[in-house]
Amino acid sequence: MINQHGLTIRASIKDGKEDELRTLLNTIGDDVIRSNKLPFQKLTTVHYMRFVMVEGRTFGQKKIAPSLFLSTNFDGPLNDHLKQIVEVAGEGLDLIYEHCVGYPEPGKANSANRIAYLQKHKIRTTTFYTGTRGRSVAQIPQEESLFDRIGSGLLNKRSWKGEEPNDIFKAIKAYVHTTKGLEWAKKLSKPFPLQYYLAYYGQLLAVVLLLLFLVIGLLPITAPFVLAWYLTLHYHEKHDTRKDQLIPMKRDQILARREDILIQNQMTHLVDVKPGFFRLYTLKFVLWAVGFLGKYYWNKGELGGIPTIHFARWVLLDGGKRLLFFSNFDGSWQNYLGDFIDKAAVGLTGVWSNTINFPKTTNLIYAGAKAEEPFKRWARFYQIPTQVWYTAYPNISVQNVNNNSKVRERIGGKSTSESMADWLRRF
Amino acid sequence: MSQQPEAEITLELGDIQGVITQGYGKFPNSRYLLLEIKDVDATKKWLSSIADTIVDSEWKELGDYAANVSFTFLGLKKLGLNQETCDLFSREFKEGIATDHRQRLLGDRGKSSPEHWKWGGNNGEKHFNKNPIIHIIWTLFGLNEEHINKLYEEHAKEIEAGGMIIHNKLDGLTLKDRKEHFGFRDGISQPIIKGSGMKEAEHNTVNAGEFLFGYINGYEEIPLSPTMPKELDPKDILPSLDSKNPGGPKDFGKNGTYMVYRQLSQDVVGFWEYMDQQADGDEEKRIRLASKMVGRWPSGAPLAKYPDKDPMKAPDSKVSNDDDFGYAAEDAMGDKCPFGSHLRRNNPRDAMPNTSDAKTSRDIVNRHRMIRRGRAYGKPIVDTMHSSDILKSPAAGQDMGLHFVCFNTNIARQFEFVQHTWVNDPKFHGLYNDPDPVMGEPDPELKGKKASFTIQQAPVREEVRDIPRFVEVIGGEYFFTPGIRAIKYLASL
Repeated sequence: MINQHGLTIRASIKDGKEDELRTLLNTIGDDVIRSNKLPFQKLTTVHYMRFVMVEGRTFGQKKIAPSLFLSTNFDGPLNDHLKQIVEVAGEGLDLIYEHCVGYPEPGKANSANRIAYLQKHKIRTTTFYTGTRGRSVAQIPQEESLFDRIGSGLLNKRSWKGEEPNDIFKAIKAYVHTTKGLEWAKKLSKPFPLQYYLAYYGQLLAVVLLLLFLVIGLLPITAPFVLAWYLTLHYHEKHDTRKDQLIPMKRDQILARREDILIQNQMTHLVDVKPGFFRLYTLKFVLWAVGFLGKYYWNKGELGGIPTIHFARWVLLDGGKRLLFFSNFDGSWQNYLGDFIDKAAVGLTGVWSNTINFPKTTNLIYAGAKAEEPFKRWARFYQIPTQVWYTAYPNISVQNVNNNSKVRERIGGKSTSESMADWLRRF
Repeated sequence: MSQQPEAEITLELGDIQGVITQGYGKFPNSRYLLLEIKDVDATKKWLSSIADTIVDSEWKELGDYAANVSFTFLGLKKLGLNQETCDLFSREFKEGIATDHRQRLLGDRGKSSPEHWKWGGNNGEKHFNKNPIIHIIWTLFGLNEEHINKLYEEHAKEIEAGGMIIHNKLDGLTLKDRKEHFGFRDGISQPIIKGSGMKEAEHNTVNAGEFLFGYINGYEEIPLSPTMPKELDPKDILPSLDSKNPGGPKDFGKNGTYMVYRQLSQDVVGFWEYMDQQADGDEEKRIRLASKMVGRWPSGAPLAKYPDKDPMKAPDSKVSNDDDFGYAAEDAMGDKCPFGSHLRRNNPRDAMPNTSDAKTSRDIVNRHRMIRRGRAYGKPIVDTMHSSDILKSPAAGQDMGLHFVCFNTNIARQFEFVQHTWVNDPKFHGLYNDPDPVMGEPDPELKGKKASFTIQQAPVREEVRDIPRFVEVIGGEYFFTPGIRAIKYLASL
């Protein structure tokens, strides 16, 4: 098992260079697989990668330049990942980042100053979610091929009617053990290192203790605080106004141009946080809670009941003025948004009710996304184009990834409470 | 059919075109006329003359024929519907059925690409072929072929006098035992529209807003309708958006809906040859495999209830129309009716994957229903439609298939969702490479990787591979089927 992370890099685009950069990125994005500028498939640490341009803004006195976001979902230590990016795709990076402020002059870029640039422009990913925890970029297609070969090379060769599940398992195991190219599957994948578990359970313990302390130890302070928060929320929910806006057709079509090309899809979404510290801190808390639950509760491939999300993240920008959302998911936009409404409305309303023009909400998490048409209009209105999007395994769904691992684990000898008959149902 | 209402009527039946609420079982034959408007004023006169002849949903007894009318987006614009109202139609309808994105969404690629279509495909920004623009579809239903011919002669004269050109006339018919061309009984499962007066199981009774504008939909909201300021309806023909606010906006959409029409060509010989090949020539196995893929036996009996064999040789109305079943309790593992079968993926009923319980599943599934009014076209290869007879007769080269017609208020969430997420997505229900085996697109990226079909069973599944495409799209368009008052409004423009 390997620890997966989200990297977000934000660079300011030089004055007047936006159109040029957009054209360049769109050219790369039109055919990522054959891009010779960025040889994505050689990036063996990368699950997903995207480049997105975000418009500049003015907040009061503060002017924010248009910026370029690079986002990756990657395996292992950050330094190895950055090193690989600059070594494999250095020239491509130079082409792109020459449009950005502060990047080394043409001809003067090298691995060291490219890494330094990326490090310097790295920003904090507020909430990170993975539906395929622990599986590496190499492991996911490898386990898919194991599944496929057991099917085509063994199960489809004859009828298994009337045979005992345990005998079929033995036949599968024997097939894997004797088939060239499947030797790796005799063993389990390496477990997470000890530090991973220490950090994982350490954090859980810390949170539980803190909550206990707040509820029991500090009740006289916590209770009035929560009550005050609730009353303020109630006030805001009563007085917040909203505009119901329909995305202009042209903008909608630009988004659609990059949709439903593969089994998987992407979404980039950017919306202003409602003004004032109350909404910002409420949002920060909800994002923390979603991240926490995503790690400790929804960690088996379903985020709030949605089984199609490979990786997703929220990033708070500009001191909490804007909220950016990236997602990599299976199936169509309609299916994804439908799942938001039908299965995960509470969690998503909890997050996005703190942003402008979101459908009317009650008690932070209710109503809101349940208003189907207004919610979909809102989601589409604030969606922005993803100029470049790469996926390392475009034809494998989250459910496939997780099923394949269960198949592989049993063959590798991991103990499980699942009956053999149920395990065979995985094929 | 008895016309006594069995349940409360809350719909404005007199304003709803009859084809939406009734299958016109009395009329086995139909003809769809695709029209282009040349003289707008003449067409408006024609519209005004036909508006009162159109069958609505209030009829006590059908006359000796039925006619209904629908419009493309370009048709509505051509007739002069104002821009503001036009903007409120959905993106799908405005763009038309043929766009680059929609090709991917609907699986209209390869031989099914709009560039090869015999009609339609030119109502969007991009023109895929040289077919004429379609503005109006006029649908006629009659008692038999002769009757349809006679009706056509009369109507064609009026249409031509109405300043329109008839570009295509497409005939629909009803095959023996209400089968489709592969030989399976079809059109059995339909949602009941709440408030229409019809009564059925509650889980199959769907809020009217899923099928008609102006009513509460499956999310308990009124869908966004194409409306207009009151001033644009000076003769006060249209209903008000809010009946309590007669000075407010007028609702052009009320009692109307979108109609999806796709002409699907079926490779009947190819279908049975594939089954025969997989079954090594064994008749029983061949029919079993095809039935596993369909989800019903040729007689119409559902596999979920009759898993072992077709309970009857010829259809019998009770078993053949049996629609009273689910999967959650009886067939959770798919051993009777496979997860990937046509029937189960087009309507997962109470066992939609990743839902907590049967009720939740039904509620979610009911937000993706459509009213289907398809009709077969083309003479069957053999009248019996038995696979053994089909395999014996030489393929005569004639085209046959289905005029797929459905009604829904949200094309993206209903028709397109079902076509993409349930029919074409090979990952449906946690599967790997299994689109709908009967009518899905087996090779989405056109890389020669053909589809599989998984048959769940103990101790381990069976799988067939390399399934070719049996159904190709040869024409299609999106239409709007307005309420009767909205037709009169168009005539008044």
